[in-house]
Amino acid sequence: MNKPVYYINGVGSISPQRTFNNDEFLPEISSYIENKLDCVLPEFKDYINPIQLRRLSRMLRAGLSAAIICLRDSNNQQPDGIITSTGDGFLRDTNKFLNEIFEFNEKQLTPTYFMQGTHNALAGLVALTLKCKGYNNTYVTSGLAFETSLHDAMMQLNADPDKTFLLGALDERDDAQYKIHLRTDNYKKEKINSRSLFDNPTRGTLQGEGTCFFSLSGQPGSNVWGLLKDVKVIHKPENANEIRSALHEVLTANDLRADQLDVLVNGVSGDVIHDQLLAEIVETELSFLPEVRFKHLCGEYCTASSFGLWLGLSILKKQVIPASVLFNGKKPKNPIKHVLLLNQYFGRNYSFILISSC
Amino acid sequence: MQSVEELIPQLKLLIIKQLNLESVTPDAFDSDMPLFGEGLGLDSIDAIELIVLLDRNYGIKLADPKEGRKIFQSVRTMAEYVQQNSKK
Repeated sequence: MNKPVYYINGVGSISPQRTFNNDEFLPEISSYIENKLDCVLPEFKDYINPIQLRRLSRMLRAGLSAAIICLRDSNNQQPDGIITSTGDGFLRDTNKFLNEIFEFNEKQLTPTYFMQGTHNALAGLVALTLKCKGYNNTYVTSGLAFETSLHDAMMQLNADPDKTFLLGALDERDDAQYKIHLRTDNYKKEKINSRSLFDNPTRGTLQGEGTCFFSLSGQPGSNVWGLLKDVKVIHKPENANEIRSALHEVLTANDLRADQLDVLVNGVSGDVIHDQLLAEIVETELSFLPEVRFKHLCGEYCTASSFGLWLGLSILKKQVIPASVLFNGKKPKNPIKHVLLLNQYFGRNYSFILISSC
Repeated sequence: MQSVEELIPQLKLLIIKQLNLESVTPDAFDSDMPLFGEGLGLDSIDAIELIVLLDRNYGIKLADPKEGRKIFQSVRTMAEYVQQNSKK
């Protein structure tokens, strides 16, 4: 039986870099010096009705705009279903709502923060905007939320390859969360320039945020970015061998050898402890590949692998690797056909995403 | 007790803040302009926000939705109601 094919027919990304214009590819790099990376936002009125815009929070605006960018890019304005993912949801509105509960003694609560603080607020908003009454689901499985949503989309397309799913990821940076993670050494104690994240082999990483949307179908669209070949997740591996076995399984399942890969997108976070297992895998299995890193551009967040996927797809589509992301200076083969994304989130959740050109 | 004319600018600022009316300034916001439909274009979620606004700022509890329709016709009708019913 032939392996199912999943086409990525459109993308939309809003991140701490200028990524919302698909005609550009990291034209300029924004640096951050406070260990917190906030999204570079587009002009929302280009994507959202001004009347609708008023009530939406910053990241709901960003999420809806990314979805619209993706749909316009795919030339398919009406998906059959919407699948979103978020590890922590809309943290700022959740915190405002919780603070109001405390401040007003559980009375006189306003509806907007409650509505916008729920994890599935974005999936609902996109569906309402598009009048899409089809499948609608949101995954909230922490550092594997995005990968779980990819699995869902793949299973939906196995059942009906003619369908199109709009797949989105979103996580929002929040100062209260920053303080909590700082106490557990998940963020760096010392302030660094985000561009030099990988020059500082210390504990912790940078706090980031972002939202990416992808249009997935079993049929090619008019603007294919690449093929989603495989997704594999590992939760709390005991050692690097567990990750190594998973890597070999992914390659074998897709009839590939490691030397047939063209680019490695490495989701290391600059944390000297959390990066240990991925560093060992790259050194022993994949050191000959051009290595691209991305968390100095977007920071760390539960669904940061969606930014990694956007980056990998952009490399496939445009056939270039910007100097700002190429870590080891190795030149890629020409053409670039197979890109492997490895990610880790706080040393707990690991994933592989394999993408290829058509 | 504040007069209706004193309450109107205060209410305008509260409404702009509570409903996130970024593009509306108090001066451009006519006191007799309808709040819903053709005027300011508010909707049912905004109506709940206005009920909470009256409760938090003036100690007024609205339980009857029909009552709200009359009170929320314009900023002036709101100010008149607050002037007569404020508990703060």
